[in-house]
Amino acid sequence: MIEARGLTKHYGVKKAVDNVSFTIKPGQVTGFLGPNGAGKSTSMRLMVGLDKPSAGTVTVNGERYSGLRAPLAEIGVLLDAKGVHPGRSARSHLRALAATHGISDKRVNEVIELTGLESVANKRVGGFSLGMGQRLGIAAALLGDPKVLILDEPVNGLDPDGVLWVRNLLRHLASQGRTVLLSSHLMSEMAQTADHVIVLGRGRVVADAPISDFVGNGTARVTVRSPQAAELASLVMTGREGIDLQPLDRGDGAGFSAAGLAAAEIGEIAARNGIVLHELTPVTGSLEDAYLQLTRDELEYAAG
Amino acid sequence: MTSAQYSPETARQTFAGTGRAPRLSFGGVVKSERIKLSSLRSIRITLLITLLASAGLSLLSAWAMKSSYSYEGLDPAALPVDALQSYLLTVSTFASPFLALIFGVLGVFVISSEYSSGMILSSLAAVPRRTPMYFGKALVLAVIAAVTALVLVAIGLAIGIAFLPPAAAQLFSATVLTGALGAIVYLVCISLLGFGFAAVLRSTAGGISLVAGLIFVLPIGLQFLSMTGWEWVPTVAQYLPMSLGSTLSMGDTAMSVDPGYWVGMLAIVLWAAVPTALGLVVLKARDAK
Repeated sequence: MIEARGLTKHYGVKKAVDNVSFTIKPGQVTGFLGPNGAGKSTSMRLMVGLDKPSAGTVTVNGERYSGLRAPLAEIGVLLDAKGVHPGRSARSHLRALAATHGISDKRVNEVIELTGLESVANKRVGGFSLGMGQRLGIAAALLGDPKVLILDEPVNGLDPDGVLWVRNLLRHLASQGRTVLLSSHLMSEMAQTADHVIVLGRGRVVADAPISDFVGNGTARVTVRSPQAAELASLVMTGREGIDLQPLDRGDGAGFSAAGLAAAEIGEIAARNGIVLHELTPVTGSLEDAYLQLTRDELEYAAG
Repeated sequence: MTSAQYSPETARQTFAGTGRAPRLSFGGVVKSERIKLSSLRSIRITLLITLLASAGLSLLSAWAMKSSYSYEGLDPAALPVDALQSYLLTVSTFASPFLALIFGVLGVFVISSEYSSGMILSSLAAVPRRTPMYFGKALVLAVIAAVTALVLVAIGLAIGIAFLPPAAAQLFSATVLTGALGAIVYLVCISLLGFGFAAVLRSTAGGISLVAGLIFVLPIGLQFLSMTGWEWVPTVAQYLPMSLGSTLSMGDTAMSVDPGYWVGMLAIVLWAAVPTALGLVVLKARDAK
């Protein structure tokens, strides 16, 4: 459980985090979503005491991070910035961090295995690819078997295999009752991993809701293509209310996008009337749409 | 690289009982800092070069001094006690004011490398109170510096005796022992001076410039200033690190120059303590990076 109350951080005159309050609950994956510069990384640094808040508080399981007796057993953190000396081997890096808490070499070997770093564990970190660096960061975060995991852009630089691996790992850790917080600017990543999303924009909380509230929030549509599109459209409209039909962008009249009824119903109408269908696709309201709407005003560096 | 297959079964195994419950302790932090320093190749190479350079200079000075005795027609076996003591100290500690630069750079590097690599973020996330990390680092640095200085002074003394066996009788004289101790304390303090200033500046280049400036440039500046005849200039110059290094490595003798051995010892400890304290204040007050 992480609780922020009125959390604020200025860097000079710039407000990186501006009077933010939220609660991150255990047993689920919470996503920090927002454009670059929205305050995601800063909030995470404040949680583990790397930066000091200008105002407000943030607590981990009810305590300030610096007051904990075994910080690594409470929070495992993967920061966006590389926190590793390039001249040291992966194993030495992990052993040095483990030593602070009296964590055994056996556990170091376990996290090396768990993150698939066995073959490079004794190589200098300077030669690691971005993906291997991310795995090492995750290994370090897992060292203390922590109750809370904070991961800044964990899938950054990973190959598809690695992305899937992180996703499963996080879901599993949350299912064990741990608190998992990850940040991303990739909305699709959030949609597949997070249960709950906190959207940040310009240092403020723009939205704080379960992922289901974002996806399919009254925006579900069905894309229909047919050589008899006009005929089908009038059949669909007949006797029904609250249906919204839009011609497809292509403008050749060979299809439309419908909201207000399910793909199955449209298919049945077509079958009953002997109408040929070329395409019938349900389009879920995407997190992208919701996200773009929410952050439109908050984008710090809007294009053009 | 192989990609680990993740399954709930392996996770349950690996997350289960990991022995004792993890707990942050100062002993653990010291061990962590020891692992950090001993796992960097650059540190090992720096220490090796220091030892080689020091042994080389000892060889050179022992050979040169022995030659000068025979040139002056002196019988080495008949040299007076204070001449033998001075010979031993020259051979073993003569280079220490110059080696100080390497020790200072070592001190700078121990902390500035954490900032240049970003490692400081991992270090402080593991030790969020910060003070134990800082003192753990300072302690490991001081021990490494002390052991290195002890070894290089011991090598110097051995070389001195090898060239001039009659000097062996003076090895445990108060003058030689205090001189050796002075040189070791001096080198340890210079490494802590570099450490403290680098903790304030958080930069390798800045730290090295400051250390080199204090050791080598400031004395030259004061030398020029002394031409003005101002009385305070030579007094201040005596308390600069380089000058204190010479005073300390001469040992506690009657011929000791101002400010004397024990006051000099106090002064060099202050040169270490003040920057180290400033570094701690900055570390506690500022954001991690």
